[in-house]
This record gives sequence, C-alpha cells and structure tokens, in this order.
Amino acid sequence: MGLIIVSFLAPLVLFTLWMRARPRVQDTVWSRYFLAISLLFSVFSFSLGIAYLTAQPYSTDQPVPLFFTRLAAAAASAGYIALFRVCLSFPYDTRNRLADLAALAAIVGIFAFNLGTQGYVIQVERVNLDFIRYEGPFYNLITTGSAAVGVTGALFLFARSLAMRSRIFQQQSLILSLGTLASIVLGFIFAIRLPQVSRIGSLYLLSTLSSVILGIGYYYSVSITRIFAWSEVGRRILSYLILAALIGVPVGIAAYVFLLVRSSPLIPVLGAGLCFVLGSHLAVLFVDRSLDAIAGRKKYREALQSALAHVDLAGGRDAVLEEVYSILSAPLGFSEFTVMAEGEDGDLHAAFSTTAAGMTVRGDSPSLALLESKGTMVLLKTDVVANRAYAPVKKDLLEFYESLRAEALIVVREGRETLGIFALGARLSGGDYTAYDYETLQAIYGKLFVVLYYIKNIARESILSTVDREIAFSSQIIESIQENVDRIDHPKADAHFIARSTRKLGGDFIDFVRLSPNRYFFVVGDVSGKGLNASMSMLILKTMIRNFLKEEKDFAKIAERANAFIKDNLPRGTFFAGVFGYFDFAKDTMYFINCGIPIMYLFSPVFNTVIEIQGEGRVLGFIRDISPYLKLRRVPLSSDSILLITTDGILESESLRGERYGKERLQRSFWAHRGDSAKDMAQALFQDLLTYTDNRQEDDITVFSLKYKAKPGSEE
Amino acid sequence: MNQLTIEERQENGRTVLEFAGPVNSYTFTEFQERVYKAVKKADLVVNLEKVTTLSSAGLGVLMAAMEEAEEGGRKLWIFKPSEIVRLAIESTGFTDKFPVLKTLKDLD
Repeated sequence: MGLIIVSFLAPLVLFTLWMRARPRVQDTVWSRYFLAISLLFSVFSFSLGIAYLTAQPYSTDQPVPLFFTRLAAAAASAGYIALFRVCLSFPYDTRNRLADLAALAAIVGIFAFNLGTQGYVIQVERVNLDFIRYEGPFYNLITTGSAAVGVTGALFLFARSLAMRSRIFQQQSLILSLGTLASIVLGFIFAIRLPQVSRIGSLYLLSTLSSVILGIGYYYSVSITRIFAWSEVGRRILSYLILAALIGVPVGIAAYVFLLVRSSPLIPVLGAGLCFVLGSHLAVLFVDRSLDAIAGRKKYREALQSALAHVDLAGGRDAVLEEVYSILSAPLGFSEFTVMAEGEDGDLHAAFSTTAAGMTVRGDSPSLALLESKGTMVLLKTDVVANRAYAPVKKDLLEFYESLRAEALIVVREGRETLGIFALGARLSGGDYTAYDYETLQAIYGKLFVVLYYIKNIARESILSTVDREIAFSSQIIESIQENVDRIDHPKADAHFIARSTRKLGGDFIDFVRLSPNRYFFVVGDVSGKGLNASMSMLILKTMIRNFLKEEKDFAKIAERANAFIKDNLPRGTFFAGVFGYFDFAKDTMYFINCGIPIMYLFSPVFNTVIEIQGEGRVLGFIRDISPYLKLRRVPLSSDSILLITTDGILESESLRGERYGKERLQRSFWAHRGDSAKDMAQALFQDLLTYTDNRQEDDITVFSLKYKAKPGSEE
Repeated sequence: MNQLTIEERQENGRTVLEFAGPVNSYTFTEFQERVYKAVKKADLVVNLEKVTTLSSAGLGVLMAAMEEAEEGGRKLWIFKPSEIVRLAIESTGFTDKFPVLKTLKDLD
C-alpha cells in the first residue's frame, strides 16, 4: 500500500520538471509537446493510484477502478505516441503538421478505444496487495504496441543522433532516447512482466516510476547545453550506488534483524546507526581516492587558479598576456586565443591574439549589447547552439563567435561596461568545451578580471615610461583617480582629506559615496604591496567596493565581499588595512567597521579630550571567512566634535634619527590644530609630519578630517 | 643600516633564513625572492630578530609564504620577531594565525 505514494508523487515530480524545463523550450515546438507528455504521464500515474486505492477484492462490478485503469493505460499509450512524434524531429525546432495530426488522431483513437470498449481490460480487482486485471482480447496488442511505439521512437532518435554534426545536439538526443528506453523497460517490468508472467502484482504501482524516469530524461535533454564527460557521469552514478550499497545494505539487514527479533529496538537501531556512520565514511573515502582518477582533470582547476594568482602584473602588458595565454592553453588546449580590451574610443581592440592581430569589435555591437544585457560572464558556443533561450539571437551570436574564431567567451565587465573579452578557440583535441571547463572558466573569472583591468587601465602604451625597469604611472593620472571621489557636501560637515602617494605609486586610497542627501559611505585604507601591483590592486579594489555598494544593503556584507575578492583574485599576500563606514547626518551618527585601520581619533568637546575610537580590527584578505570578526560600531557625533582617520604611513614615518612619528605625536598635532578648519587641520598635520621627517616621505600618507556641526551654520 | 642582510643555513631538514635590517620598498624584492624560494623546498624558519622595519609588502610576503607552505604540506615559522615585526603582525588583528617561535627548541 505504501507504493501508492509513488503514483501520487510522480505527477508532482513531472510538474516540477516541466516548470524547470519550460524556460528552455518556450517559443519552440517542444513547448507544447513536453507539456502534453508531462500531462499524459501524470494522468497515467495518478489514475493508476486511484485504481489501486478503489479496487476491491472479489467483486465483478467495479466501474471506478476499471475506468481509471483504462484511463491510465490510454494515457501511457498516448504519452508514447507523443514521444514518438518528438523523436521524429528532436532537437531541431521544425514543424510537421502532418505528423502532428497523425499523432493527435492516434491519441484520440487510443483514448476512445480504451475507455469505450472492453478491448484492453474487462475487469479489475485487488486481493490483498495484488492488483489483478482481467485482460481483454486486445490487451497484449495495446501494451506491446505502446511499448513498441516508444522503443521505435527512441531507437530512431538514437540512429539520427549518430548522424548529427553538433555534439551538443547528439548528447541531448542520446539523453532523451536513453531516458525513453529506461522508462519503457521499467514500466514493462513492473506493469506487464511481473504481473503477467511471474504473477507478482504487488509491485504494480512501481510502474509509475517509469514516468519519473521519462520526465528526468526530457528535462535533461533540453536543459543540458554543455558537453559533459561521460566518465564524470559514470563516476557520479557509481558513487551513489556505492553509497547506497554500503549504507543501505547494513541498515536493511539491521531492520530485518529487528523485525525477526521484535524485542527491544535499541540494539538493531544502534547497530544500524553504527553501520551508517562506518559505511558512509568508507564510501566517501573510496569515492574520493579511487573514483577521482576517473574524473581525471579535476586537479587542473586548482592548478590553473594557483598559476593565475602568481601572474606578476608588473611584468608589462605583453609579458602578462603571454603568461596568461600560456597558463590557459596548457590545460584547455585551444587552437586560438584572443584578448579584446576596451580602448579609449569605446571599441574593443585586440590586445593579444594568436591569429587576428588587428581585430576590432565596435562598442555598440548588438552582440556585445546582448551579452551585457544578459549579464553573461562565460558563454560556450554549445550554449548558443543548444539553449533555446538564445534562439532569437542565435544567428548574430554565432557570427560574433565566428568573427573571434572562438568556441568560448569570457566577457569581463565592470558594472554594465564591458572591459574586454577573452576568446578561446576550438580545442585542439576536436572536442567541445565541457561543463567542467565552463565551471572552471567561471571560477577563474575574477582573476581574469584583474588582468583585463590592468590591460585596460594601466598598460596603455601612450602613458608608459620605463624607469629603472619599473613601469611608472603619470602622477597626474594616479592623482586624478585618487581625487575622483564624491565629496562630503553637507551643512553639518566640514570635511577634507589629503592623499599623497610615494614614488607616484601606492596602495592607499580613500573614497566617499553619497548614498542619500544625509548619508555618505566612506572607506579609508591601505592595500599592501609596493609599486605597480599595489596601485593596481588599490584601483581594482576601489572599483569593486563601489560595485558591492550598489548590490548590498547589508553594510557588513560589503566588507565580507571585499575580503573574499582580495583573497580570491588579487595577488597572493595582498591585504587591506582600513575602515568602512558611513555617516548618517540625520541621526548625527557615524557607523564603521574597523578592518585594521591603525588610528581613528575623535575630539569630544564634551570631555575636551581626544580619544581613540577604532577598537579592534582585522585586515581583509588574510582569511577566507572574515564575518565572525566584523564588528559594526556606532559613534554619536555631537556638535563641534572632530574626527581624524589616518593610514599607517603617518605613524610609521621616521625621523633622521630613526624614531617613529607614532600615535602620541599625531595626537599632539591633532590637539594643536583642533581649532582649524578641516582642510587647514589636514594640511597642518601633514606639514608637521614632513617637518619631523625632514621632508622625507617613505610611505603613502592619507589623512581624513571631519569637523561636525550638529546644528548647521553654528560657529566653531 | 639601510641594507638587508640575509644568512641561510640548514638545520634538521629545515631552512633557516636570518634577516637583519629594513624590509622596505628598496629591500622588499630580495626578501620576497628568498622567502618564496626557500618555502617551496622545505620547512622554513624566518628569523626576524634583527629586522628594523617591516613594510606592508613584507608582511604580505609572510602571509603569502604561509599559504604556499600550507599548500605544499610544509611549515613556516617566524622566529623571535623584533618589536617592529611584532607590532606589524599585531596590526593585522590575526596574531594567533602567525606561527611565532621564541626558541628553536619549540620545534623539537
């Protein structure tokens, strides 16, 4: 009786699969066919369940279970007729009115025959668990015929797939034909073979599993748009079988023992639990050690990520691109490789190419606009071919691929703007990019973003100059980037900052973003490293933080995402020491998260003293999960209070005698200039430092000062 | 002292690198090269007792080297960090993540 659940759950499963498959097949001829198949097999399963429930023993007049049994059979036969029609032209979206009409006529005919005559089944009854059918004269013809229709369709599709040029279409067709065959075999065993030949009717309801198998088959046939490695599929199926055997068998034995003994369940339950724990542990070990070898290429993803993390961006544009090409080409084995980067004219130009050196893609190209609108990061050619969601633009996209001689594209974007594209050509092995390759390309996207950002913003030949083997930025450019922030413009705040890099390159940055008329986000900090790498990392991080700010409502999440970004994408050893915060002028409050900022001073007019408020903090980019360490702090800002934030450059500066400037000197300087405007104070603090160091600046200096007026316009 | 001096020796299957002087923008490259090269081959002890300055870049080298060592199944220790180095490590907020040794006997 418990098997009835299967027949009632099957329609739910089919409905779910249909809903998931629907976006893949909308606007195609398959949309209504797969809907019809889902409905028909749902009717089959549901009706069989009803028939089983309502059938009684030893009664010759049972119209309800008889009706539902005939309905179930008609629905199953109709389902296989519909499936046969699908197999005639799947996966090509072509219409065939004649075939449609013939299929419809056959479906109508089978329903009419089954429900209107006694040709299929004369009577049914259920004795204990056995469901018994009294077969009509055409029973064998209908059951065998329906199965034959399904099998013929599946075999026909299989044969067609062998002649298909597109491997992804071939794969989809194979999945559907295999799913159909598996469904028919399962249904035949439980619905026909066991009851008829072996006289086992108690498992009859398991035949409804055939509809689930079929549903899974058609779902994957339309939703998989990337080639997968059959070895990986085999590995996964084998993993599940091993897990089931090692856990299921001992637990089953324990349950059997319990049933036999029927005394206290404690020992069998404990035994089953122990078997479960041991069995699952052994199974996982076996799968990880022995079956990973079948997967084979799993290790290449990690090696690829590690190699990209070590790319030295200070090596120069050509050297960087050459290195990236060599890192990617080794495991992926592509024939051609092109990197397109956005130029000053807004078009994409080839920064590196193994073939088409002078290639250009217009910035207003429709294909580019389409990729931007879909938010695509990685797109395989097989996706464009096989995913029906791309059908309206398939021709344009395939031409785009052709122009780049690509089989895979990695589209690097900064917000809505396309920074560039990595175009990978066809595999030298002749194979297509697989689902594993797709996931790997997605995993390395962040690192490729860093490379392309460097190519676009730094390594432009027009601003390069080589000094002592270092690539130097124009000081005007780096200062303009530093100055390109929203200013705090609020009647309650007199704010100013100074940011001075040493040797024209550095990792300090400060940024403000106006969230609303009364709320301003700020970040002040220092990205570790030296020279070009630090500047690069600083610029990229600044951009990413602004992106996160657009996407995140939770303030702490911005810090978490920045941490993850640094950890995963910036050169190894990079970290950020600073503070994230925001001012809420309506509430006269500052909120902040200390991520390793060395000093935040607040002058309190109430207590007429300067206090350190930064508290404990931890740098970003050192550990993977920073969330337990992030503490949001709240500081009320009273009228005439003064805030001072600096990076460690001031504190670590040394005099000619080697003495650190330190916190105390900074505090004294702050105290001495507390009556100045924010601008004068920041400049005075900086000048005091230069006096101390005899005008030597060894590290980046960032000073941010804010004088608060709770009542706007009040005199200082 | 503006120069960074480096001494290397092998001890019980481990490499010991002793640095003396500043790790700043002038000496950082050499610091990085020696630490990375050593950590790829064997367990590494980095003696920073006589380091007078440790820039953020130098601190980043130690962090990166710790990761490299862990990935390669090796260990890295920081031996007798000077006051400056200790303050730099503390500034990260992750003092407990840095493997610091007070004596080499602690290894055995």
